[in-house]
Amino acid sequence: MREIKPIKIAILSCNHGHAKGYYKLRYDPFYELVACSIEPGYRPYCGIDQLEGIPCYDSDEELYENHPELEAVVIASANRKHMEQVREAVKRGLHIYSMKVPTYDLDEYREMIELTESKGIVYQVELEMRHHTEVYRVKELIDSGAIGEVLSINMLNYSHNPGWWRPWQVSPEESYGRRVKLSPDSKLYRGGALADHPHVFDIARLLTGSTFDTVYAEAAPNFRDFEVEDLIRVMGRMKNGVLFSLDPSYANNENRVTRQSSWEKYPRCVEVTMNVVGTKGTIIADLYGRAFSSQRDEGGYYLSSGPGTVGLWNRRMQEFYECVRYGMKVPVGLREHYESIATMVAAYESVSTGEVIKMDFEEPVKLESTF
Amino acid sequence: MLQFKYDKVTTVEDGVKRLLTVRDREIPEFEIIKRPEGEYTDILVLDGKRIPLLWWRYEARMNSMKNYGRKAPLENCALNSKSFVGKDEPIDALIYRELDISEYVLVSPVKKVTAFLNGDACNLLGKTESGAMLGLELGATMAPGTIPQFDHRIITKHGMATDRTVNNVVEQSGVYLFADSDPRPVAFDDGEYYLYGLSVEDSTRAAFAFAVILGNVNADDLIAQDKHLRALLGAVKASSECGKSVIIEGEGV
Repeated sequence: MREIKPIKIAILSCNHGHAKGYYKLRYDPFYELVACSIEPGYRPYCGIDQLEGIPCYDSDEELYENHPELEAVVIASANRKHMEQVREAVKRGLHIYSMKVPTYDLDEYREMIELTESKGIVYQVELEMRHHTEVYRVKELIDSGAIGEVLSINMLNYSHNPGWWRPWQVSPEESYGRRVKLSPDSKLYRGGALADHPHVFDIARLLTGSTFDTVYAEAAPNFRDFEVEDLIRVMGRMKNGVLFSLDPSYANNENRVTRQSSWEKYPRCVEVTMNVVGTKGTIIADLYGRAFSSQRDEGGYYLSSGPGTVGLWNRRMQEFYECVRYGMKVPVGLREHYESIATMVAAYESVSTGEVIKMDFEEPVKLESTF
Repeated sequence: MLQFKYDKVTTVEDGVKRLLTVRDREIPEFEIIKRPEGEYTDILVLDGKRIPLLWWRYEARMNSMKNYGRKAPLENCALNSKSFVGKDEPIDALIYRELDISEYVLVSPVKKVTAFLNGDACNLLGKTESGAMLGLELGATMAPGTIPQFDHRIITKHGMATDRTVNNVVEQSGVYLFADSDPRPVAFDDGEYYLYGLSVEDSTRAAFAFAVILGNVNADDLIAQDKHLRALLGAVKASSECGKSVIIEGEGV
């Protein structure tokens, strides 16, 4: 039996939507949650009551000054801030666990690869949807030939828009990294629904064993008043000829609250479904599996959600531990995720130009299944 | 005491006759031809006219979707549709049907399409004249006779509506039999009291033909829409072949 050597880790900024999920590291025997930094202005909104006893600083500088013992950080900030936090963490030799979007600036992205690889830093990207077993069931069915040759693979990832309680997500600069119009005559800017939902791009690659060849995207009129896109859809062909259709929209409405409490609205806050058309049949799947439904007293709201298995742990952080302590290869690092991010940027370009964009990856990375 | 007793209906034509009879209408000479060669839907032959039956418009939930879309047409943002059918329905017929549904629900003609075809699969993004987006994911590779699996969701500035309850992965049936001889349930889909014996789809076909015969649906409008949908289908194929968006102007491409 191996001796557990907890990784001394900190969470930076804590204003990413998934940050709270890492507060539980304080109870994980593989980690020692040493401290957190809180992004200015976000202290009332980060749920730091769950961090009682853990030092929470107002800046990364203060955190680093007080905790030279750190071995790793979770970068849980707005997308705009990732690059500077990566540079600082690399300078300090800290391993990095990153939220799902390292950056949409592809020059910055390449700099992140160069920096981390040259210093032997473990950099893992949080793509939690890969741990949904429905994904692997679909893959097994495809690989077994159950539906013949795959003709198209299509997914939607619908969610609420979190901008009401997490304003950076509807700021073009904070979310996309800079202010770019969706198209020359549009009043909307990049940085909305598409920028928040890279999972479907990752899973399309994982399941087809291929990468993107052509990309076309359209945005629909917003139904909220934010200046980033609500509804967007991306289609095209994979290199192996399979069609794809990905819909990463903020299509599900939410209660417009300023603190993340009771925001969910009927029928469901997040949905992820998939269909795969083959020459000999079709797979239809809900990647969130079976749902739980409840009615709330307040306003009589009916809510449905996909709860996870009770008593299990954060599987990504188990992987991260193995990578840091035992040199395992990360399932999704910067190189593995690059083609998904570059394709999302291309999708925005397509909305802007109205053209089908041809992708050309010099060294395509084939994603590996962890099953 | 009144006694009602109806025999089970076994054909769409008999269903139409049943409806006419119940409503004390004369039964005219008519024929329903199930999607003949060169057509994309069933044809009603009536008074010397060949009338395309866009029968899906009368499916109960689709009618509700249409009503939702017509509340405030300029507030319609997007219609996202998934539709998968058996190999007995050609992919072209499915594209034709779903394009009609898109225009019917969004209350605006399709003006631009960008399509990707691969065998019997088709993905399509489009824009209507009103600026709404339509996204279609279609496939016709399931076993002949499979209950069509579709899901339409309209998203508007005032809310959303869908004909597939969220969390339902596949199409619901009305009745499921769990016998002690087979672990898989047998599903039954009966759509209409007077048409008991017909499937939901065939009940809808009968109801739509009945409406055309009564003049509640204008036959000439259907013929014009058929011409328009054929032009759209041509645009879909042209787009997929050239790898570009195609703009639809008037009836042509």
